Amino acid sequence: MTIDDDIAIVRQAIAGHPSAQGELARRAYPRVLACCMARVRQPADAEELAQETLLRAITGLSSLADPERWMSWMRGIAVHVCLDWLRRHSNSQAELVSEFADEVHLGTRPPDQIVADQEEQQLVLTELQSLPDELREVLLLHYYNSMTYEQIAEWLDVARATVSERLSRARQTLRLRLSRPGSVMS
Amino acid sequence: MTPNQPEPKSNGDADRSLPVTWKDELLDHELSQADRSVAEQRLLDDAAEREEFTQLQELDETLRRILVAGELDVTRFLSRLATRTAEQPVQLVQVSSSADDGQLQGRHRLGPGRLAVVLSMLALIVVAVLVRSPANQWIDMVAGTKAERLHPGALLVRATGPVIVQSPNRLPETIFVSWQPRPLPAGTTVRTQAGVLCELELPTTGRTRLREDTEVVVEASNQLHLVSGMMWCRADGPDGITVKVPASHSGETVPPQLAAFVCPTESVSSWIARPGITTCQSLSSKSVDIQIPGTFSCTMAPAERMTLESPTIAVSLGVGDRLSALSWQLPLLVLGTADDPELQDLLQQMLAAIGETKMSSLYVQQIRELGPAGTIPLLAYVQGERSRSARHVRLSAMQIISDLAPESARSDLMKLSRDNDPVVKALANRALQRLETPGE
Repeated sequence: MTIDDDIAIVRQAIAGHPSAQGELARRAYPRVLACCMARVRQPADAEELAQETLLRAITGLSSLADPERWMSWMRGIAVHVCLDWLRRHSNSQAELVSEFADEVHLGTRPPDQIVADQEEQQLVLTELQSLPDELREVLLLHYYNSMTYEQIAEWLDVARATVSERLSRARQTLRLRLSRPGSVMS
Repeated sequence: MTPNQPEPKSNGDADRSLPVTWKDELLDHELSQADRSVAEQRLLDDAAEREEFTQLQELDETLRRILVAGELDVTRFLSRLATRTAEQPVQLVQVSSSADDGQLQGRHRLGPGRLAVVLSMLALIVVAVLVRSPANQWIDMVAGTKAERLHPGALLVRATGPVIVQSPNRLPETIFVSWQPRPLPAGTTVRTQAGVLCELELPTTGRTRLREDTEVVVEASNQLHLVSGMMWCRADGPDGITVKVPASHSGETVPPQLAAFVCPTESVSSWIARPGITTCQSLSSKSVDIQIPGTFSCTMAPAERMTLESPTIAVSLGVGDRLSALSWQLPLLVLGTADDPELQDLLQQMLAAIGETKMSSLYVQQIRELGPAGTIPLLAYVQGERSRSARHVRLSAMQIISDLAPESARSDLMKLSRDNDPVVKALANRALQRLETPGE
């Protein structure tokens, strides 16, 4: 996927082609999800908010003055949607990290392996949630969407070096926390 | 290589300065070719750096395994988008954009259209809770008079308001159905007005229900003529029920030609006759052959619709929505007993549809805020067939049910604890455990 491809799709989506709107939503979903997940932390809520963001963005495409700036525009909507949600649900953020930690790959593996995987996932997600928002978002963008540093920089509207530094700090923090005795990487 | 081995000599590039984050960039293939060579050499030279890089690789593998974003269901998204676009004129979403920073500002509020939907959902939930309650006593308006019945063309057994009937050679009269059914001789015309539904029992042959603004002539106990409006029909007798419908409309002054269909025994169908169009939908759970005597028969799949273009030509319109062909009957069905299986089935289907709408239209937190009563439609949804094709949504619903389902949901939870999906099973068991230990 190139930036030119994206812009062509944005232009078609603005023109009202449903297939382009669907494709734009499909492409943008992982990065919007990362943005929401970095803020609301509950996977189910983040998915809802990501979809809400895409719905608002696509229904409001006509207000996008410069199609080449669609990424920062869409991220702005995502941030706004999340902040709005957080204002309304400020009491619910103390909940556990992942309601779906129990769900990982049940069925084909021995019970002790399932338990170990669940514990590992729970631990990693817990540590992930304790990172500062800007580190968590870069990390999620990198892993959710396999984005390059350049693409992440464009999405966040920051310098490439900033992305590299945040990603490195995020991993360094996680590596230290997870290598404590009894942790995943000890 | 062990720490005791001699370190290899560095080449001339080793002094080239690397970014501070070089190990991450090497891992992510973000280094330039020149920097990559230097970085790889440094890993060879320095055991501590090598050890750190190995740990970084392990972390990377763990994160790749755990941080996986699901795919967006584009079809479902486009359907939501279509709904959102249709709602836009009444939705109070104020959106403004700034050309400078591209940020959107505004507040999202519950628009009147969505508020009406939520209120109607709540009203239906209340009806459902009342009807599902075994302690609830409904007044049976048609109780205990079967032995005294004559053998007329039909019996008017229940109605939600006054019904106009005109028996042969008599003036029209308005009937208020109370506790006793009203016999109607063959040849009687039955007419419903706005807001009124009624049900006719056809002795030994079946049952029919008329929607508002509908006119039907009961020509015999096994023969109905739908003049206009909408009619549901269930054939129980061995010979089925003949339904006559207008097949063409040449003009207001010319009476339409009629087509007669034989609905076979155990079939359920819905008929609509409006100016210029006549349609039939099969509501049976299996395919049925509907015949025009002496001409042809057509096989209709479950929920299939067809339109009649002439007395002998029927064209399929494909499969229609079964629930919308049934849901209008709810005000009539709630006049019966609470344990009526037909009512229970319809409520279950309607609740499932409400549950599905909630899951697709509201945030999880908003659903949770509805409290334990809000889980009733979700319980219907997760037990319905449609939820099985959207596992993620089904699991989200189960999570809410697991946390909030009330005591009255125990029997549904027992069923779900035997579900094929192990996560659903586990969440149902968790809810049952919660109900066993109140206060935790």
